[in-house]
Amino acid sequence: MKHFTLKTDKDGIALITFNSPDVSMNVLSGEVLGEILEWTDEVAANDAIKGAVITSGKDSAFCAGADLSGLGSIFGEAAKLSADERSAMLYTEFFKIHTAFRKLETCGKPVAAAINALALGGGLEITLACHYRVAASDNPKLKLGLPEAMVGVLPGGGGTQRLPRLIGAMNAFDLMLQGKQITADKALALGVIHAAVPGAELIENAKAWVKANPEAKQPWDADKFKIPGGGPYHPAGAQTFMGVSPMVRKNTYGNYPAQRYILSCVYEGLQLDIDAGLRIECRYFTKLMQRPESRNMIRSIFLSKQALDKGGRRPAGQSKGEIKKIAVIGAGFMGAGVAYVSAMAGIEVALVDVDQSAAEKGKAFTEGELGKRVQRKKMDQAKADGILARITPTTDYSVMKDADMVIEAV
Amino acid sequence: MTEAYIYDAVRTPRGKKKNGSLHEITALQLATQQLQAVRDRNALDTALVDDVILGCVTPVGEQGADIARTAVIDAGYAQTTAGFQINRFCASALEACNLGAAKVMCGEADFVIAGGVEAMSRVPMGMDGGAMGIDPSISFDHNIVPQGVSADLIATKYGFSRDDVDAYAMESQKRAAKAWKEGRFKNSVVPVKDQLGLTILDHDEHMRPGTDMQSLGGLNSAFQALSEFVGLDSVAIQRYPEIEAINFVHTGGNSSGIVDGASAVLIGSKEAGEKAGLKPRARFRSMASIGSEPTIMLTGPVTVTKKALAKAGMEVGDIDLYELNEAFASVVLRHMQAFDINPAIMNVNGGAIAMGHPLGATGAMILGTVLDELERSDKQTALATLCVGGGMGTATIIERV
Repeated sequence: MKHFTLKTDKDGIALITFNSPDVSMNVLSGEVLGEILEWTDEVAANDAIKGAVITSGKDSAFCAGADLSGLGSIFGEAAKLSADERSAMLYTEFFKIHTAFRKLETCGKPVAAAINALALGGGLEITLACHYRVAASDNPKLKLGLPEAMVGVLPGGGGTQRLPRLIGAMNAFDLMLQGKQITADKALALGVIHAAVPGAELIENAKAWVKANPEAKQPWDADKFKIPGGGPYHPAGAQTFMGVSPMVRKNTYGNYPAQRYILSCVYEGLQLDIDAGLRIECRYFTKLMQRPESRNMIRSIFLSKQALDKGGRRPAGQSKGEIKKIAVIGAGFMGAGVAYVSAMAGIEVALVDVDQSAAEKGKAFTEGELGKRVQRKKMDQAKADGILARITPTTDYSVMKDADMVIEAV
Repeated sequence: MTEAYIYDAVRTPRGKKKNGSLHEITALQLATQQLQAVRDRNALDTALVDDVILGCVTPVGEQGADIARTAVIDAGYAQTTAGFQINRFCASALEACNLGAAKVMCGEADFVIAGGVEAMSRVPMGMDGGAMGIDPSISFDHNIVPQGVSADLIATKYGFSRDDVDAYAMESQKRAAKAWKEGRFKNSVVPVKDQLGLTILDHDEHMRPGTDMQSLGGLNSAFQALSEFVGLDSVAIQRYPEIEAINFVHTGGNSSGIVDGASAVLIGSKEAGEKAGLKPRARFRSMASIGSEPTIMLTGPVTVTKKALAKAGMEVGDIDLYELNEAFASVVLRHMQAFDINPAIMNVNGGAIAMGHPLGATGAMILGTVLDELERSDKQTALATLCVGGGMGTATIIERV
């Protein structure tokens, strides 16, 4: 295996470490799914293995989600087919993740996810197919969420089915429709994860759980499973479903098919068992991926933006410019605002106006805004003082001399 | 084609929802007692009744599993009388009458009893679920909002103020009180008996005769808070972009009351009536049901009135009395506005705002009410209609014989 290592300890617990070579973050690709099936088979078939713990070998992320750039070649193939053939082919392709994840959660042995870092989209979805989730409480960069809808996609790795079955439709809608990314503490409070412990104790905690729970089963595979908060035709659940459609329509004007299809995935899926629910999700995912809105959003908001952020348009040999100091001419409403956001971004600001009192007044705006932050305990006084000190109110135009940029705001 | 006639029409008094007298009486009993009243008042050999059609909007729990046939058995009718339950939401009982008339007209039946039952204090609205408001493929894609929001949308679009709807509500209370005082309902209202056979309710108990503009004006909007919380107003406006903001004018005081009740109308051919020794009171002149835009939902009576008039070869002015269910004040105001109807001939004896709207039973109640009024005021022709969920409308034109 290229992406995973499997090491079994003396208790028979296999530690599976996700660590794709030559990339900064682990992502799910067709190749990765193949290896997941491979080690799942090993865990299931090998009598010496009593259970498994999945973690990541990277501090950057447990797994950042699906490899959206890899979709290009799939669509290239699909484009050669008739409409119906294309849907069938894409469905088959997109269902592979369900086969792998479903196999994992029904392998007959306990599987725990030790989430050491960021787990988003497909990265969170693979942990939802584990029987136990523990996340590092001391990693400030650790965020959990299903942000797919933000780039026009829906959670297509079982997220629309497992998350509401875990935390109820209302909370699941809240996370999925707005692509919210939450901390380990918040995830624990919502019931997305079972425990949050310091990173150093993560593997130990996950292994202890595996050892203590040899009969692990997903709640939705248990005989008397009930959806938390109720399904669409449960008196309490109905309230959620009656409210969510107008709420989403109000916010999207019907222009975002991802949010729209998430509603149907959950509505239709929660009336069925998990396997049928996953088929529903996969049909809507396949339908969604053929919509121009989604294709365009993936391209513009995700792929192109990533390329831009990496300087994709920078001519070769062009050195990186840096703005350390700016001069803002005019300390009125606009100038004061520019000074404020620039100082917040760590830039020295010379705030120039025709008389000193006007310049001072422009700086006072920042003082007021920072004061509010301090009052709300969003910032400490020392940091606020440091930011305020970056702004120099003056009437002297000569300060422009060493400015990296001059902004006219008169 | 055979003509269909109305021989009798009965209804229960309407029991209010909160601490109401009929809460202790089963839905089945409400229906059963109406069937028994039709039989006993007319000394009717029930073997002559081919079918019983009852409207019911929430046919679950005790109202489930075909309450019409259940009531036929319970009422001690001949076992040969069939029965079935239908649901056209608020117009169910009027649709039942139209269906009954159609069965007579086409020769399938000689006598049919049509009406409805809804014990709303016992089987709450919405208990039957339904995809309309819950499945996003209908509620999201087709801008479906609850009826109250539609009623406020009508008020906004057609320019009815809070004072307009409150004034209409006050008039409804006044007319209902006067009608009761003068005994105008006594021919139709059959008191409901309790388990001992004693009268438990003999009047419409939802009425508030003392209602004035001040008391109505003090009530809060029934739909604004929820609507703005989940964005229902935005959903409606996305369908009607010419509207900037919904004017939330409807309250508990100018909307129909939630009540328990049942109704039954005896419909038959001329021949059947002669054989049974009964005198027909009115003839079905025309009948219609329509669908219209489902977001505004409640302007269906305008469309269906046109259709029923056209089928009868009549004009608006040919109708002596109009009876339009007072689901919400704006529904009636819009109807009068659309056809320039004189308020004096619309809902002469008040309506559901004062007396309540037992969903599946109301249609036959208003048909009976307007027939009584035709006879009392010695007029000839009446049109009864109701607004219906999903943008539908049902109407019936009758004339005295």
